[in-house]
Amino acid sequence: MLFKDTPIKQKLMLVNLLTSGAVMLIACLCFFAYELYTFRNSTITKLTSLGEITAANSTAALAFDDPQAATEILGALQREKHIVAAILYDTLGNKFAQYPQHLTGNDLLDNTSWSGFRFSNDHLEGTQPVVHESKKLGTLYLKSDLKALDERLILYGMVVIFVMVFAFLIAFVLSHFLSKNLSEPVLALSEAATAISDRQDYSVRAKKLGNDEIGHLTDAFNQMLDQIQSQNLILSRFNRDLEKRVTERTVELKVALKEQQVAEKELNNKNKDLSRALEELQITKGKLTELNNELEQRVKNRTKELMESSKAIRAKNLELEKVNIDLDNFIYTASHDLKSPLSNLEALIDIVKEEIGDIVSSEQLQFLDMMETSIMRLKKTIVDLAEITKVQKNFDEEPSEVSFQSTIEDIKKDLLFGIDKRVVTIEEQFDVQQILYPTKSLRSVLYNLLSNAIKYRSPDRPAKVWIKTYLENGSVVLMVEDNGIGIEQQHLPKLFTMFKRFHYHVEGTGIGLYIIKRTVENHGGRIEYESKGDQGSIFRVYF
Amino acid sequence: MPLLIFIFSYKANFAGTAAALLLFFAQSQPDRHYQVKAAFLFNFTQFVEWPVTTFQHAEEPLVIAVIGQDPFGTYLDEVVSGESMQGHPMVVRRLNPEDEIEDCHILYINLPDREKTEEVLEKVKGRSILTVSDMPDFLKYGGMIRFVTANNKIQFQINPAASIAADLTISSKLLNLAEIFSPE
Repeated sequence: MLFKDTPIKQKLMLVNLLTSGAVMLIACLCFFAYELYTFRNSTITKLTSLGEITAANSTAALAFDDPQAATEILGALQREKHIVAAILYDTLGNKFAQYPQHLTGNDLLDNTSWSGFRFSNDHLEGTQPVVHESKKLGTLYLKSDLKALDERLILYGMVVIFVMVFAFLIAFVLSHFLSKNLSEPVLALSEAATAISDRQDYSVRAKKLGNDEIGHLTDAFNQMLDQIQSQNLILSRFNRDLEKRVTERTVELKVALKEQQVAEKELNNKNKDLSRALEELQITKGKLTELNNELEQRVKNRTKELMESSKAIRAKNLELEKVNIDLDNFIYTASHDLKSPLSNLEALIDIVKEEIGDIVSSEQLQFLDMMETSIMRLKKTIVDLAEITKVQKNFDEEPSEVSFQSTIEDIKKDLLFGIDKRVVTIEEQFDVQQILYPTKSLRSVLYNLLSNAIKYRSPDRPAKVWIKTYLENGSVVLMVEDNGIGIEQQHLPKLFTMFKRFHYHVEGTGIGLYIIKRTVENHGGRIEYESKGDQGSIFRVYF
Repeated sequence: MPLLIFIFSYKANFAGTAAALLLFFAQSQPDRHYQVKAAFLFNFTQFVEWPVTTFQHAEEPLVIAVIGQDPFGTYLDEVVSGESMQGHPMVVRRLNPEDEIEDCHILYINLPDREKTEEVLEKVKGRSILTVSDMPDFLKYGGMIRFVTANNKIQFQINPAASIAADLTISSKLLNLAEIFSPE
C-alpha cells in the first residue's frame, strides 16, 4: 500500500489533493485539447478568409498585368505578422508577385491542383485560386508560421498551471481544515492507545469527538479498556499468587534438588560398590563354574552308584515279592488249615455243653461260653486274613463300568439285615452315577466304609449316614459321612494300619480301613479322613 | 481564354528576344500593344458595372464597338469570341463616325482629330457607354479611360467623374490600378 506509514491526516490530505489534482488535470487537458483543436480550425479559417480577401483584391492586378499593384496588395499582409510568405501566380503558374520582397525561389507554383490550407511541419500553408466573375485569373499561395499557435499554447499552459496551482492551494487549505474533522478523533484514539502501550496504564480513556463510526469505535475502545483494566486487576492478583507459589515451589525444588544430588552421590557410590561386587561375582562365578563341573562329575559318579544300587534294590524287590507271595500262600494255607481244627473245637464245645450242661455250675458254663467267643473271634480273624489275600488277588481284576447305586443297594442287603431301620438312616446322593473300576474292589471299599459307619454309631442318637459322589478337579470323589462316635485325634496317625482298633466295645478285627487304603492306593487313588470330634467322621475316597 | 494566356506568356518573355519578333511582325500585323489593349478592353467588362436598364433581356449581347480606324486587326475579335459577361455574349462592332452611334457598352474611339472625338463624345453623353481611347487629352474632353504606354508597359488613366456621369460603376480594384484623372 502506498503511503502506508504516513500519518492519517496527511493521508487524507494526500487523497484529497491527488483526487482533485487528477480531476483538475484531466479537465485542463480536455480544455487544452479542445482549445488547441478549435484554435487550429480557426487559424485555418482565418488564413482562408485572408487568402480569399487578398485573392479578391488582386484580381484586377492580375487581369491588367500589374505586378506592382499586386505587390502592393500583398504588402498589405504586413499587418498580419504571422504571414511568412505570400506569392501570387498567374494562370500558367508563373510567379506574378510576392511578399516579402526579398523572397527567393518559388518561381513556379509546384502544384496547381493543390487547393486549400493545411499544416505542414512548423507551418500552415495553402493556395487560394484567384477568381473574378467565375474566371480564374491566378493562384495565391500563403504561408503562415505557427507562432500564434505556440503563443496560444503557452498562454493556455500558463492558464492551466495557474488554475492547477490555485486549485491545489484551495484544495490544500480546504482539506487541511476538513481532514481535521476526520483525523482528530483517530489521532485522539491513537494517542490514547500509545499512552496505554507506553505506560501500561489502562485507566487512560480516549476522548470521543463525535457520534460517527469513529465515535462508536472510541466507545468500543473505551469499553475494551474497561474490560482489560478489570481483567488486569484479576490477572495481577493471580500473578502475585502465582509468583508466591513459584517462589515456594522453587525453594522446595531446591531442597529436592539438593536431596537428589546427595542421593545421586550415594547412588554413584553404590554403583561403584555394585561394580566392585559384580567383579567379585564374576570371580565367584568362575569359581562356581569350577565347582559346578566338579559337582557334575560327582553327580555322574553318584548316578552311576545309584544305578548300581537301584539294580540291587530291584533284585531285592523281586526277592521281596517272592517272599510276599510266600507269605500270602502261608496265610491262606494257615487260615485254611486252622479252620477245620477250630470247627472241630466248636463242635466239641457244643457237645461238652450239651453233655455237662446240667451238671456244672453256671459259673463253669461261663468258661465254655468264653471259649466259644474266643473261637468265634479266631474264626473271624482267619476270615479277615483270607480277605486280605483275596484283596491281594483282586488287584489283578480288570476295571469295568460300575454303578454306585446298585453296589450300595447290594451292600445294604447284607449289612442292614437284622438292624432296625429306625435306628440307621442312609442318605444317598450320586452326582457321579458310574465309575470305571474293578467291581470287587469298589464293593470292598464301600462295604468297609458303610459297615464302619454303622458299626461305630453313637448310642446317644439315631445313626445317620450320608453317601455322596461328586467330581472334584476332574476326579471322582466318594464321601461317606456319619454321626457316629468318631475317632480321637491321637489315633489318627495310625488310622489306616493293619489290626488297629480304637474301640473295643464293638466286635471287629481292625483290618477294614487297611484293606480300603491298600485297595484305593493300588488303583492310583487315596483316602482322606476328616474328624468331627465325637460327632462323627467323614471319609473321602479320591479314585 | 487562350488569348489571355498567350498574352501573359508572351509578356513573360517580352523583355528578351520578343522585341525582334515584334518588329518582324509589325509589317503585316498591328502593333503588339494593341493585342494587350484588346485584352484590356475585354477585362474592363469584368470590372465595370452597367446599369440594370442597359440590357433589355438576359441574352442581349454586350457590344464592344470600335469607331474610327480599327487598330486591333483580329485581336479584339479573338479575345471576345465565345466570351460573355454575366450571361451576355460579347460582340465586336465597327462604327462609322458619320453614322448615328447605335447601342453599345464599350466604345473605343480612334479618330484622328480632337473635333471629331469631341463630337462622338457629345453624341454618347448621358448614355451608359464606357468610352476608351489612346488619344492624349481624351479625358479632358470628357472621355473615361485612356491607355498610356510607359516603360514599354500599358497602363491606363481613368476619369471617374465622367463614368459617374454616365451612371457606370468602375470597380475600385480597377481604379487602384489606374492613374486617376481629375479635371481642374
